[in-house]
Order: sequence, then structure tokens, then C-alpha cells
Amino acid sequence: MPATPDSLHELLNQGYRYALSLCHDASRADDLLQEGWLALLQANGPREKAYLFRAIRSRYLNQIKREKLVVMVPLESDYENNLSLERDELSSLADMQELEQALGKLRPVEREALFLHAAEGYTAEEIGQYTGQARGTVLSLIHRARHKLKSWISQQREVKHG
Amino acid sequence: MVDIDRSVKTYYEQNQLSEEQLQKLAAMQDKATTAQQKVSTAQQHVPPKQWLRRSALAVASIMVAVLLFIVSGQNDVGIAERVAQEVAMNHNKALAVEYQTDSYDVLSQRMNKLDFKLRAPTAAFNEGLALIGGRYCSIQGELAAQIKMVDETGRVYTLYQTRSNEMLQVINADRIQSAQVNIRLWREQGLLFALAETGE
Repeated sequence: MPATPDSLHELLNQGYRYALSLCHDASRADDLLQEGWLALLQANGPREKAYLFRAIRSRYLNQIKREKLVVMVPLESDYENNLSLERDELSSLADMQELEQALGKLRPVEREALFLHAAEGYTAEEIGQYTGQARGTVLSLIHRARHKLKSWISQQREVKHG
Repeated sequence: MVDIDRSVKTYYEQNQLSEEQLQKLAAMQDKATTAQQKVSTAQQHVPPKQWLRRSALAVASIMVAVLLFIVSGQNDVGIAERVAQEVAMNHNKALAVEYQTDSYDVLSQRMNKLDFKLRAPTAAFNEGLALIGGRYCSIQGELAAQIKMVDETGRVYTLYQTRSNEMLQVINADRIQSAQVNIRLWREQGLLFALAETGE
């Protein structure tokens, strides 16, 4: 069933953002979306977010396997003890460029979990069902993602302000 | 929602596809929809699945029947040819007779291991041939009599007789040439006959 133009655009943008959460690269996210979208159309699958996300995720995982692009950034060791950023300071995270850099430091699985939870509003249980992970694992991923973002941004600000 | 989550949400919401990208992806959908409609239209002209199944079953049944007929025919031909080859080979060996006589009754009495009574073939196959004698042999594992005969010119013929078992029953009257030997196959009163003569 073809989507209406407005819902189609919204669906495609959701797919793009999800792809971006996986690869954290605009150009690559565009490719992932296009490949996933094409697969969905060829299979005559439902034009729904869950199906599009699954198609995108499948292609992303295939790319990782093929290119061995699993990026393991050991942020914990660097930032574990540097939590100077307090919760009331988070409102200043309006600097999206800073946040973008911070997101780039996350592992794809952490970024994906945080995106699905924070931007798409899925619960840890739902994310676990979708990604095939235990709820506890998802909660851990989200927690670590938040922690890393705060740490990295806090450190950057300390450097800037001496 | 913690503030970091709100910031993450805001960040991703700011990331959108350009109008050009959206148009390109929408065009992909239009193209796919058109292609699927063509397929759907084509499928409407195809008989319902039930008829397809029935047709497929009918075709499969016919094919099986034809195959069985062919295989069955091939078996008949196959066993007849195998008998002819065996007969021709024995004929070419030109082994001496063990029991010399010009009487079928006498020969049958002497070849008492046979579980059937030797008989002279009908006139159509026996005209102008004189019995010399016989010996035991086998045809396709079945105990048989190998009978030597000559015509007026001294030309040697070998006649084979055996009980027509289940395997040999499928052999019909036939003329087969094998190893430069002309062989005639026929059946009389439950026995299989094979008459071999060296070809011209």
C-alpha cells in the first residue's frame, strides 16, 4: 500500500534518522535508507516504520560484516571519572555541533539504542525485542550512551574554558 | 526524559532529507507500484490456483503414464535384446551337442533336468530343418535347451527353448539381429523359443 505524500516524507525522514543513528554519517545514512527502501518496495512490504527500520538495520549489519567496520571506541577509560557536567547544565547542549561530535564517539549499538529510546520513544523492552537483546542490555546501552555523551561534552568544555 | 535525551531527539529531528532526496525515494515507490500493478493485472488472467493445481495434476498424471509406458516398452525391448545377445553369443560358440538325436521326444527324455517337455516348433519355424541334438544352457538365468538343427544346405541353426518366466513373459514375437546373428523370438504353449542363424 503506497503511503500518502506527507506520511511518506515523514516515514522516509524517520528512516534516514535511524540510518544516521546507526552509521553517524549523512551520506552513508542516505545510502542505507535508499537500499532499505528499495528492498521494502521490491518485497512489496508494508510502508511502515518498523519494516523500514528492519530493512535498514539488516543492510547496516551486512555492511559491518562485509567491511568489518565495527567501531569500538573505549570511551569509558577516558571519561569514566570525568563527570563534571551536572544535570542542570544539560540545557546548554543546544550546541548541536558539539552533540554531533559526541554522538560520533558512541558505539553504533549505543547510538542506536539511545536514538530509538530518546528520539523514537521506544521502551527498553521494545528496543530489546526489535534488536534481539535483553531489556537489561538495552538499558545498559542507553545508560552508557548518556554517560559517554555527558563525559565527552564536559571534557570539551573544560578544555575550552581552561 | 532527561535533558540529554531531549537534546538527542532535537539533534535527530534537525536532520532531514532534502526535497531532492525525498522526490527520488518517492519516485522509487511510484515505479515499484506501477510494476506491481502490471503483475497484478497479468495475474488476473491466470486461472485460479485450484484450476492450476488440477491442471498440474492432470499433466503430471499423463506424464507419469507416458513415462511408465515408455519404460515398460523399453523393458520389453531391453529383455528381448538381452535374450537375443545371449542367444547370439551361444550360437556363435558353436558348442557340440551333448545329446545327439533326431527326435524331440528322445531329446526331451534325455534332458530330464528341464522342468518342461521339449517340443518341435510349429511348422512355420521348423520347415526344412533337421534336428541334430541338444545340450543344456541358460537364458537369462533360466535353465534352457540349446538344440542344433541344419537345413537342406547344411546351414546350422540353433533353437533355444525355456520356460517363460515372469521376466521373459514380456517378450513378444520379434526378429532381432545381434552379433551378425539373425534371431527370431516367439512363444508357444508357455515356452519361449529363439531360433538363431548366422546372418548372410
